[in-house]
Order: sequence, then C-alpha cells, then structure tokens
Amino acid sequence: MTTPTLVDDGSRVFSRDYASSQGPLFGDAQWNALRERALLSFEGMGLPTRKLENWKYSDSRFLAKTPWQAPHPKAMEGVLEEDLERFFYGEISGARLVFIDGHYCDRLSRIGDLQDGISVAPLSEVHDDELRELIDSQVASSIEAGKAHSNAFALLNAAQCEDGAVIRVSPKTEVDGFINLLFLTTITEGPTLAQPRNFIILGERSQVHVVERHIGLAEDTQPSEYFNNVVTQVRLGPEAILNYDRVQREDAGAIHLGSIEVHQDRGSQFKASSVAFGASFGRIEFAIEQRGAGAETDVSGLYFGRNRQHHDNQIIVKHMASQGRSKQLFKGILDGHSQGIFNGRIVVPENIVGTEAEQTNANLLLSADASVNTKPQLEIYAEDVKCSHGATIGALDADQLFFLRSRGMTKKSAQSLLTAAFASDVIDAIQFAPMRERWRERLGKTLTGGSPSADQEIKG
Amino acid sequence: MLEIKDLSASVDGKEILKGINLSVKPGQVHAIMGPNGSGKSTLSYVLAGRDGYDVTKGSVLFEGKNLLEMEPEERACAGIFLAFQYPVAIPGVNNMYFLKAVLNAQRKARGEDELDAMDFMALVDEKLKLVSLKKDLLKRPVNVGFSGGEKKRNEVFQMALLEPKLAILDETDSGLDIDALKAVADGVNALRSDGRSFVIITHYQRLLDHVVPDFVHVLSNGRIVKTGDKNLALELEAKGYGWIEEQVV
Repeated sequence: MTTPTLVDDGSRVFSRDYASSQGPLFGDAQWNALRERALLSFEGMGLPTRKLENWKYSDSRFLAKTPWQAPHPKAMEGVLEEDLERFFYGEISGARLVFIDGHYCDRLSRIGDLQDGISVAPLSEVHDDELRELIDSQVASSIEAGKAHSNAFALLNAAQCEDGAVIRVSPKTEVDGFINLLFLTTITEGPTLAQPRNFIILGERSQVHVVERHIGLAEDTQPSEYFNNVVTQVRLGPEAILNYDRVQREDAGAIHLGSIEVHQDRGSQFKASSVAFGASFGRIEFAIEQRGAGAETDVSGLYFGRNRQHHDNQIIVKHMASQGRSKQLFKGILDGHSQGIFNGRIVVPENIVGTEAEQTNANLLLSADASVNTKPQLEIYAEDVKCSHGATIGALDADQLFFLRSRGMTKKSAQSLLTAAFASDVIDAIQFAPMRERWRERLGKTLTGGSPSADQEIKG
Repeated sequence: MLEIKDLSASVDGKEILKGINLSVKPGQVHAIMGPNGSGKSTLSYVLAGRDGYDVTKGSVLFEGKNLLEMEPEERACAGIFLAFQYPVAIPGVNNMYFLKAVLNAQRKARGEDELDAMDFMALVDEKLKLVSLKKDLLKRPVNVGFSGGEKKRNEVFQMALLEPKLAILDETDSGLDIDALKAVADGVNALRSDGRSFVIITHYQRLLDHVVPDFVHVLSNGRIVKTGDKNLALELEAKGYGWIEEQVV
C-alpha cells in the first residue's frame, strides 16, 4: 500500500483534465462526497507501477500520456437496432441494457416485462432512496478496498463514473432468462475514456444470470483509441446464486480495465466465466470476499492474445468465513508477440476452518515471441485447509500434431483443433449456452491464419 | 505400390537407416521384424513423414509419386496410414468429432463429397462390426483413459474407417493380451484385400500367427539383412535374432 501523499506522475493532471471534459454527473451530496474521497485517494496513490506486487508485469503510467476525453453522448445516435442483432441470440427472454460509449441508450435497451422481484435500471435513473443508500455503501466499501489493494483505477471509476447498470433481485426470486449488459464503443473522434459502474445485488436465496459484454464496434482495420475503465460490484445475500458471464472484446487499439468486486454471504454461490479477447492492453481483476460460511466461488477465465496484445488477469479470493470453497481456472492462449499475465491469490486467515481452494493456470504459447508470467500467491494462515494450485506454460504437443496430420488433417486445422481443445474446459464454463457454442465453434477460426471475417463474426 | 530404394535416414545427426530396399505390391503383407534399436519405428516414421527424421539418401515412391516430398497429411490423403506404437491421447477432442473431421479432410482432398452426420454414423456402425471396439469409447476424448488394448483397437478402427491403400502397423501388437491381439488381428484380416497392402512392424512372431504375411524381412542395424516367407518368423521366434546377426557379420 502506498502512503496517501500526492504523487507527481501525471495522475492528477490526468484525472482533473478528464473531469473537466465530463458533463454534469448524477449524484446527491452523499454520492458527491464519495466521489471526492475516491478522487483524493486516486491522486494520493498515483498510477500503479511495477513496484506494486499486483502490477508487477503491467506498468500503467503510459495511460496518463493520452489526453482522454469523456465521450459525447451524441455518438450513440449512429448505432442502429440492426447493428446489434449479431450480439443477441434469437428470442431469449430477459432484459437487456445497452450502453454506448458509457452512456445509457434507452432506445436500444429492453427492460419491459420483467417478473416481480427484480428491478433493472441504469444507475443514473435509480431514485429509490433505500437502493441509493445501498449503492452508496457499496461504493464506500469499494473505495476502501481500492485503497487496500492499490486498485487505483477502481478508485478513479468511483470518482468519475457516469452511468452503469443496477440489477437488484428480491429474496427468494429466481429470475427467468438472462440480463444482458452490453457496453459498446463506437468509432470515436478522439481518445475517449468511459467509466461504467454496475451493481448486482441479490437478496437471500435469489438467483439471476447476468451476461456482461464489452464490445468495440470499429472494424479492426481502422484505428480506434479508447479506454474503458469498468467496475462491477456484486453483493450476494445468503444462499443467493449469481451466474455471471463476462466478455471483453474491445477493438484492437483499446484499453480495457475491468474490476469485479464480489461480496458473498453465507451459502451463496458466485459462478463466473470471463473471456478476454480484444484490446491492446487489457486487465481483469476479480476481487472476491467470502464473508459468510459455506460460500462457493467458481471463476473460469480465458485470455487470448495475438499481435502485441497484453492480457493481465488478477484474481483474489479471500476466505473470511469457514467451510468455503473456491475454484480458479484460467487459461491463456498467446500468439504473435502477445503477453499474458496471471496472478492468482488465495487468502485464508487463521481460525477459518474447512476451506477448500483450488487454482489452475495453464498457458499455451503459439509463437516463440509470445510470453506469459504466472504467479500463484497463497496466503494461508489456517490449519484446516485443502488447497491445491498448478501452473503450466507450453507449446502445442508435437506428438498430437503429428498424429492428427498423419490422419489427414492439415497442419493449420490440427493446430486449431488442439488449441480449441486446450481451451475446451474454460469454454465449457461459459454458462450462457448460445454464447458458449458460438465461442466453441468459432475459436478455431480465429487462430493462426484465421481470416479477418471470421474474426469479425466472433464479436458477439 | 511402395518402392523404397537405398533409403538412409538419421535422427539428431545419428544415422539409423542405412540403405533400405523394399518393394511392396498391391495386396501384399510384409512383416518387418528385428531387435530393439534396429530402425523399425524410424522406418515407419520416415514413411509417415514425421519431423525430425532426415532422409540422407535414397528414394521412396508411392504409386509412382515421390513420397518424401509430401506433407504427412498429403501422404494420409494419398492412402498411407500409420497405426502408432504409442497412440497419443488428445484431451478435449471428442473421438467421434476427430474421426469425422479426418475422414472428411481426406475425402475433400480426394475431391469426394464430405459425409454428413447421418451417413457418417452409418459408416461408423458398419466399421465397428469389423473391430470389436466399444461404441461408447467414440464419445470420449481421443484415447483419454483408454486401456492399452482399447488404444490399439481404436487405431485399427481408424484404419477401417479411412480405408488406406497402404497400412503401416508399428508394433501394434506390443503390450496386448491374447484377446486384444486376436481382436486387432481380426480387424486387420477383415481389411485385407487385393488392393490394400500392409507393412507390419513387430518384434515378436505372435501377431503373424493370426495375420499371415507374404514376406518376412529382418531389419538389423538399419538394413534389411534377410528376407523370407512366414517360416522365417517362426525360425526367429525359436532362435532369436542373434544367429542372423552372426550370419551377417
């Protein structure tokens, strides 16, 4: 943790200049006080550098060199209903919230006929006092966590977020269908920064499935420079179940930082999948705290790097209550000159009993120029713990390749098949079935030598 | 069908094959026997086109074409099949999916129509009768959790499905119990035909009790040192390889 004195690394100029480009932000006095607190904490911390353990392989200071501007809400007018069709999967029930360049797009969203017990709304339109207070307390705890874990960008988001989705499920409500959150970025005129913040709040014994996708709309051949700094806060009541699928498929030139902060009460289940595919610099940070006994956490992630992509994956699971179970399964496929990072932490304090924690990270290097850094961080102070972890880095297996070729498969097809096979368990972990099948089917097509058109198809 | 002339090959700079000559005509079954380290598996990998096996001399023609210039997949599509001594497991690739993909890759390469799921299933059922392979193994990932015998049966099943012109069996009999050996042999015998040739590489004579060869060659120190009929295999079984090596010296 850094000391809260102002640092002179450009972060202050960066945050203040950006703030002046924003229009008026929503929020009452309470919220504004939180924003100010978050901003001061961000400026006190400065931009994360390699000196921090969890930024060891990703220096963020380059981000302050770009004069990021708030995106103009007018850009969304160019996005039409038919542009979105490829991101949806037929007539699947539920709701969808569409955000374009960080702004809520009422015209393309469908909140309509939701069953009793669930409310879905953009953050800027939440007026219920009790819910507002709940959100405020969430933000306050996120700020404290951001300070404790040097998550400067989550702090910046707390200070400057413009909108996001709020999903709240009442106790004992099982939601049918899916809640689709779609964050699209258009081709922008200048370098823009959007900072959505989402809240998923589940009451006791409720269940919902949320699909959160971040997608760039520019063709990869066109330059696009933007930065999405996203936070999703999840709070699970006792025995609540959240099924959560996340996709990062930003444009090739984009920056994407995503934080998923989860608090789990007793007996709750957080089942998550994450696919990180796009962006030139991407970082996903899961911070999960089991606060009640018997909670279960299951997070799978796939990161897929090509060209000079940088994919950083951070996950921390804190077992703060007994009889908790957690599983982390992350797989990286790295081609070209891409770089992958996995840093997985498991924390079990003293006097916590019956914890079962499992961590696996496997990496496939498809090119001699690709690289990966993988680091398990186990901080286990309790006695009664079952904990396993394993990390591997390797190339495609020459015996398997030859076997497939000797049966008549071309080298390229064999490579694609084996790569898809490597990722099959993390693809299986995608819970939204039509999306899972689309990724499974098309993953191979985007591998070495895959055509750009196949690459476009996979955007959903 | 297969003409090997004065073939020499090395692995990691070490010469393993030292001038092999072998001619295989359509419908013939040739057994290649020899002690460990004589170059039997090297010969099979050179014929299948594996990386790391450098041909330093000689030629191999398959139906008049220069085999050594072809990629492994081109050789497969031309009709060469290698049954592996140690079939690899491929986690995450379903056996049925794999079989359909390779069959259709070969059909496509030959300008034939690809089989749809229904025709493919019908073909699978037909070929399963030739090889006693449990059908539920086809639903599992390729060779994952298969016993040694099941892996070898799976190799023979692939051979039955792909219908090669020339099948090279690299110690397919090694590590098999009597039942599995019989099943593999039955599969091979069912596939014998006037147009299909076999090169059976083996260390022991016992597979040749069931699959009777037209010729038996003894490979020793990278050369074929003796050729005979099926009786040569029996003689080797009785006397071991020592007497041949003494003769050669």
